[in-house]
Amino acid sequence: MPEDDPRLILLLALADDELVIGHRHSEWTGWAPHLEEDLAFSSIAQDEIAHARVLLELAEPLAGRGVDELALGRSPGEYRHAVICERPNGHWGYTVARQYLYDTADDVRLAALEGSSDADLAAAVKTIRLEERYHVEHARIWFRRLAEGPVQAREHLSEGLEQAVPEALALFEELPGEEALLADGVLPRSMSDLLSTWLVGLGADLESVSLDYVLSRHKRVGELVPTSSGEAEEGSTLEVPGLERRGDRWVAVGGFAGAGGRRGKHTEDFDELWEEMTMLYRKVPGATW
Amino acid sequence: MIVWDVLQRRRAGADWEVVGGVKAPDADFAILLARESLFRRREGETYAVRRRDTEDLIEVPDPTGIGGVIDREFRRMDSFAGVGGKHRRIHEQMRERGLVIDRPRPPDRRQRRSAKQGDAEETARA
Repeated sequence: MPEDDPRLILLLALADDELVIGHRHSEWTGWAPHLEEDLAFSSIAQDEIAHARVLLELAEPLAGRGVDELALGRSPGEYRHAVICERPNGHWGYTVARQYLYDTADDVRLAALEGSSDADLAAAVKTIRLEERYHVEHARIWFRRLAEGPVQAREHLSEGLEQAVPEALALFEELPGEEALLADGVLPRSMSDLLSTWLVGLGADLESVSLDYVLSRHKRVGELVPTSSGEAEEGSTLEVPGLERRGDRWVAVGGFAGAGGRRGKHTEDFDELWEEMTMLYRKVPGATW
Repeated sequence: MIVWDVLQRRRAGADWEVVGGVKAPDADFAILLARESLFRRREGETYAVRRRDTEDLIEVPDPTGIGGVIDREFRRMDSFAGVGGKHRRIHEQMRERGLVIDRPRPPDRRQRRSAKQGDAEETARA
């Protein structure tokens, strides 16, 4: 697989985010807070995995590997998703926080990619967005419900946000080869520019429910450990990029030291997910349904 | 939780018909959950919810994309034909390869809970 093709890296980053978070969402099937939500969240999980398929179909000719092989036949270190997507679901408060952060961030980058010079990607993104807007709506309704709900619900949400915010920032980690993507117009705006746009909306949403303190009080997320998903660089950690309030908006300061998801560096949480996600493909290569 | 009737309009101009119900705390939630519970396979052109035993219909503001826009097999009823036969065939293939599903996934918490409860009752009896 041509590891250094920037367009392939972009497609894999987008597809892997959807694939991995889709699998995490699907783990709520049978366990969501109530029956209707169980169906809704399972449905969102299926959508995300379907979106991954659409994007992997675009990646197929660049990678020289089939869609199933790209989705399920790569080693953990070849996946390019952001670390937040692989984290276990935890409680419902964390799940809602992550879905809200992920889908609002995804909305910002997909809106930009609609203007991509890559016509196939732009067309695919336009279609994907028709479904993604429901995911954003779902996330926003739950976000507001928990934020304004009973004390315990609000506490769970704020705890989930404190945990998820730092890793959500790395959804906008610079892609390897990003300069070339920008120059060609495949990526119409830089990841740091998209991050700034997302932070404006995020800050406003959090302030509207008086939860903006989580932007300055988020939790440190721990060490990046060497796993089969890729070697951690010496001394690298999942360092939290700083957030600062400047005037009426939040801005990111510092880099994404050690975030690494876009370069194939993941946590042990992904090893466990990967084992399960790819188990059948590895045991019975070429199996058809 | 409030019970909401869900109504659909099969085609533009057709009458509303009740197609099911959802439990939800408010109308926004009811509209959201009705879409995923009852319109997963493009069953209607648009839909609405109505708090049970009331008359006011609350229509979905924008029905574009109901049932999804990306054509995937799981969106079509015919994709589920013969699933039982497929399960049996795959089960047989797995058995031939020495693979057996011997426990539920995810771990059955209910069973563990009731087993724990049973232990506690036994201890109490002792």
